[in-house]
Amino acid sequence: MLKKIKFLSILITSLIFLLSCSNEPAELTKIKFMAGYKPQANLPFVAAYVAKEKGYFLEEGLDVEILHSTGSHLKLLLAGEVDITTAAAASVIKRRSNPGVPISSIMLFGQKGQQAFISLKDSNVKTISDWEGSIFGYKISLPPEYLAMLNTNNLDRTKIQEVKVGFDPRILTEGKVDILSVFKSNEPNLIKKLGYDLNIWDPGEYGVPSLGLTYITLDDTITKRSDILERFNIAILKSIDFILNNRDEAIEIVMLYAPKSDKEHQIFMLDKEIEQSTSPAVDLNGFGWSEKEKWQSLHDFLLEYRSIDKAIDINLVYTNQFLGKSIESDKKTILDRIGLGKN
Amino acid sequence: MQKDSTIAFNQVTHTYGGKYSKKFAISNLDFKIFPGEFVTIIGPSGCGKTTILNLIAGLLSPTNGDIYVDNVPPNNLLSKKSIGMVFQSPAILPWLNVFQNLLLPLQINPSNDNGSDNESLVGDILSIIQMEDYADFYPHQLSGGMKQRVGVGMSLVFDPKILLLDEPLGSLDEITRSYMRFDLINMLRNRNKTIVMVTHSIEDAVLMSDRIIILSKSPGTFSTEIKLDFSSKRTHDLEYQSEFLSYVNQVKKSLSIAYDFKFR
Amino acid sequence: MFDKVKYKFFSDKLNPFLYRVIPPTILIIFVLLIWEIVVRSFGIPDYVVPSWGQVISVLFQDPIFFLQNTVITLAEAFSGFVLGMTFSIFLAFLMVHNDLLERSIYPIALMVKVTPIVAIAPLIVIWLGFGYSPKIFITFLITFFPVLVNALTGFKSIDNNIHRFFIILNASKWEVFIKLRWQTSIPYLFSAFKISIPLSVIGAVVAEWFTGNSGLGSIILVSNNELQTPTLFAAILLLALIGCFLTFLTNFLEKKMIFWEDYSTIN
Repeated sequence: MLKKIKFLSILITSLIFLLSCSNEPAELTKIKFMAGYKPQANLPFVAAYVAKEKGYFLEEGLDVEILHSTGSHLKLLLAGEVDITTAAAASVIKRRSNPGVPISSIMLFGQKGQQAFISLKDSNVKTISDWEGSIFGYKISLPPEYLAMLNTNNLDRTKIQEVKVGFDPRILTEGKVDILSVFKSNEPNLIKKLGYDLNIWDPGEYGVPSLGLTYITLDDTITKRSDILERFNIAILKSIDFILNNRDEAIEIVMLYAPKSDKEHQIFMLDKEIEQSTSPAVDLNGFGWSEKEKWQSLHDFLLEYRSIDKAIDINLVYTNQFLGKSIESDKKTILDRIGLGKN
Repeated sequence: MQKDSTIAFNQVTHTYGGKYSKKFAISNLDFKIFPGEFVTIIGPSGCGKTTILNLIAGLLSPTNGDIYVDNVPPNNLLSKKSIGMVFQSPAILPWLNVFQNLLLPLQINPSNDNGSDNESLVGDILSIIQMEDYADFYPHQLSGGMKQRVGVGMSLVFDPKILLLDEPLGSLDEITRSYMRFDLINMLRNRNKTIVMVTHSIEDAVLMSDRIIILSKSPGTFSTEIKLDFSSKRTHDLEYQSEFLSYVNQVKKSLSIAYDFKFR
Repeated sequence: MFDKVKYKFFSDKLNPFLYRVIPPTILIIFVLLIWEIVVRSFGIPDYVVPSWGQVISVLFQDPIFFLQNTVITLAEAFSGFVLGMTFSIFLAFLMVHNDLLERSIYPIALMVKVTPIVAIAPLIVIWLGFGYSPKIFITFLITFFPVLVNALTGFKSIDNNIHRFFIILNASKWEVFIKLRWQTSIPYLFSAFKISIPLSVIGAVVAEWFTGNSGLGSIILVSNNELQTPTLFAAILLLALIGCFLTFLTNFLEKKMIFWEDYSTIN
């Protein structure tokens, strides 16, 4: 009797085990995605969060591990420890030029640049001509957009004191600097929440060419594992569609990844980045599309202001092959929606 | 007031430790030491010998009883620099040479009248302790016996009236001890100083002192005393004479009575 | 016969400099050789791990630039260290004479020590502004604690007998300090210096990450950000050399100042 029970229980357990095994989709490809900063509502990060939580990655047969960077995401990409990460378009050009790393953008989120300059409303720096005679603070290196602004507005650089200040925006509120270099979607809101009104200068409005965040990967991955990249991007595009139509739920998903953060600030960040992700090219070709002219302008701008010393072939820096028109027709319906219209 | 004695202990008790673990170092101790005497207090470890020296020096205050040094409680004497002390491990500063070490007590809390005579005073002491050739040696270059001589010299240089010796030969090997005790006799006896020594060594006590006070076992109190009246001079030869041996035996007997055991 | 000659040549008595220098030099050359072989045979790109040849050539391309920045970092480290050392010794002096002060100050000093500098460095920059002050202050914060602890221990570790002797001579507290406590503390202070001096260099480097554009720390920050790995390694190499040099210097000074302890090695 006991023997029978033992046999039956082993049989049942094995069956359950086998059945649960067979429920798993066959052959999920594991890849690692690293967001280039701490968890927050940057659009490229949110797209990945949503794709994971809503199962879009799984639908494409991808098991994506989402990681966050403490500063080494580019190095980890180069070392092969992560498959896809984020970077600013200007960084892609710079690093491609020197030291010549083989990275490329596969989706362009920021159709406009992230850089902005701010001053406190009740300071003496109210218009661009007030920049002369003030103290300008930057994070690590002098942004070329700043130099371009000086040039376009005929400002005398020798009359401005330039200091490296790191990442804490309180350097502005405590009056240690008059003008601060910031990311449009981030510090301005943080400082407003501290109770300060700001003057904001957007280099884009002064004709300075700029682009924002991208997804990047190694050239090698593009050549040898393009299938995965295509599937990844499709999942992301589904995410974008979801985010555009369900912003509140998207924010809730962000809060899962950044539980202690300020929800209102995350909303501000996401809205701003959505705004920066639109362009006529996107309308025409689909979300994330790169225009050669814009990349070239950015490249030439960086060359002019010595952010890069060596010119490079701009075609190496980005690819649209995993986006919009390039993708097979049976997936187009979704993409049409995301592209907001005409096809 | 004890006019006839330099040092007087009157029913002195000293305890240490906390409220719940009080220990008696000495209990109801009475004795007198007269000017110019060399008295040794003897007994095994723990019977309060070092405590007695610390009390005389004014480093400790008695829990009960009175102590008079030169007719006043020891604390009052500190400013006069009239007490010197020699320790088992000599109180010499390793970063000063012999000369500088001997000069040091004159430089601390200096009395105004000495001034430029300090160097010649040190010179005198160097001869007394027979270290003239080692004046610029540093302590780490000296042997144990030499260091102890410097320690003694440091307590002679400021000419205190009273000298306290706490196991002065305790850290030396047998051979060094055997001649150092005579060096000490030459350096210390017959200089008009009142000397109190504590030691484990019965032979040192007998050879060097005028009188030996024997303490009882812990907590120490007066047990007995033995006067040492040698007919010959206190030199090496004395060690082999019957006078010496008989005093040693006397001390041993008194000690065994005080401690309830037999010396082998 | 040949062995005897070789032994004598390398013995520490006859040729102390070679005795100390040759073994690590051989080891370093060996390591560099392996490094070069690995980098070349695996085709590792220089932005991941540069060959030491590239590192050296970066240094020699603009030696003045590296020299200037090295001097700046050293100056910041030195200033912060001197400030920390002076402050700590003074504080220990107060604490050894006042038990209440010791009990009040010690926990606070400990809290300062365990606070991660990277957390408060931005605030320090905000309070103290730009220029050298925040960097020297950050360096000071990193280095003062070992000196404080060791100075206090040293001041307290005076020989009991000598102390009693001083009291019998009716020495004042100041005399006890200046003639006894101070010299007693010197070996302890040097132990602390061996920790604090390299720490001061690290402190200066970390401080340079948060403010200013000069110094080896700044070079590290910017070159790391821009994947200029040969430059990064060059700066790190210079820091290592500084560290070695300062350690040798400290040991040399220690031997000079603490002449009364026997440092001879048993052969």
